[in-house]
Amino acid sequence: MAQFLLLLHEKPETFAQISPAQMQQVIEKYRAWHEKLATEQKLVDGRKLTDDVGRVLRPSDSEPLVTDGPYSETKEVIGGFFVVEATDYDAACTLASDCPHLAYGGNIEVREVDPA
Amino acid sequence: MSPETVQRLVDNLFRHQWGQLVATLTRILGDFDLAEEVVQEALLKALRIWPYRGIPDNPRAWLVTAARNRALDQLRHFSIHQKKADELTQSLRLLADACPTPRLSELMADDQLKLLFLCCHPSLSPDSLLPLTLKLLGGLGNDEIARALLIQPSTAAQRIVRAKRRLRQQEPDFDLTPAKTRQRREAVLKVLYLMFNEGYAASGGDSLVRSDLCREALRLAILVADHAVAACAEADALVALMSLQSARLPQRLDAGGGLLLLQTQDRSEWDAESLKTGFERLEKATRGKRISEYHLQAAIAAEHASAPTFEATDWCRIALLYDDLLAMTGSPLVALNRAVAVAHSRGAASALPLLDSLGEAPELKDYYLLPATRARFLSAMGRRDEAAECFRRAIELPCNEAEKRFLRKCLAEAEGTVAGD
Repeated sequence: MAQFLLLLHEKPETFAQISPAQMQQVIEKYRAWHEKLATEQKLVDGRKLTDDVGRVLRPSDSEPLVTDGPYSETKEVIGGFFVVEATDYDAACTLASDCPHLAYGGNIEVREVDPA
Repeated sequence: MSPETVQRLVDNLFRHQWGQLVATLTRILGDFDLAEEVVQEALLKALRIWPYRGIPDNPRAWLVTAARNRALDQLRHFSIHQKKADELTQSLRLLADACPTPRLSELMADDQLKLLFLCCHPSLSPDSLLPLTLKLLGGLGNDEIARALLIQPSTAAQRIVRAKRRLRQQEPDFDLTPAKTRQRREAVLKVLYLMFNEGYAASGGDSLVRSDLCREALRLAILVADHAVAACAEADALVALMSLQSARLPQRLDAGGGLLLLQTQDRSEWDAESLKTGFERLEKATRGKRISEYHLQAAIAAEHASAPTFEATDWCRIALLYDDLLAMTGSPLVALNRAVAVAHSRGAASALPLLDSLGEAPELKDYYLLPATRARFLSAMGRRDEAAECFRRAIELPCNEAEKRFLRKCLAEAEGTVAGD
């Protein structure tokens, strides 16, 4: 069984004016998705990244250059990631296709983890 | 996955937590805007984190801790006296520490009651009181409030902002004395009554019933009725009224979301527990000598609740109760309901003239139930063309989608385009 990284891209303004009841609906969808994956034993890990822009290191002649990242004009940030088990890309994409993240306007980047 | 872990998200957890946390943090921080901000941030944090890590074992405790931590963070930005900061920090720490115990629920209930009474300041009109209470205590969002009250979201937002501003000016200390509690009781009961009505027959949108609003109003009314200072016969009567009507909630809509009239509801499906509470509270409420509007309305609800079938309902008694209610309130809406009771007890022909003077009442000008009731009387008297005319007028007036669908069905029957019942 191969492993795949799901990178969840999102726009920071999502959920700006959301009410408590709406929040609960969103979380309920994630709960259901989680449960499905866990029952099928496909969820290896899931982490949220902190809400800052992070840093980017770039090579330069002397010391590496450290700046606030990632790129100056992006409106999307990576909110977090999941590591899931799937047989191949098709299976991984099918698995990711009903992740609620998509329903709320985000993108999911899928990359296979090289087992070597 | 064990059954316990499967459903850790209790119905309306977020809304309830919002209501409870805002009330408690308002007490501790002495500022409802800050309290709201802190609670919103805590809920948003859950929204961002739980999808990755799953629902925590004790979601409620998690939310309380997150709100507590956020409040502590915010304190650091205030330039307040060190002693005051220490007091606040201590109160906040106690908040999360007390979390697993039932004591916290009690404390939070007290805080909610206090916030409710503080909000019902005499200088605030019902127009602004209701949105404010729905927001701060009911945990509803602006959109939901707007839909419930048939206003624009921006209007709802404005009314809430203005109400808060006035409240901040008039009540900077959040000090609730027993005298103020007694003074504001009437306003508090009125707001809860309006909240319940909103839930029972939501003015806008697609769902006729918002049972969560009804539950919230009933819950708060019970807090008032059982409170040492606030308790009174009127509060008991209001709880009775709400309980008796809540009992019918499971039967208000049919499977397709259509409106089920009283005559077609399956009475065995009415909530026996709610009915029992309703009758008990009504009995308690009528021990004294004071009779309020809520007493009469509860008595009417009790008549419906104790009739085994629609046909067996004591409409004469109900009409008499409406006579008293009309004498007490002079409300055209009550007069309309009275006409319906008269129609059932003495026939539509006796009731029709009672509707004539109601057309002038400003409160009923755009109220769809006036032409709709006229239409039903005319239908019963076999005057189908006139009935159809009235149904058409009713459909043009603002009302709920479920009610509109029902009216269209009635119109089709009156026009003879659908087989009647």
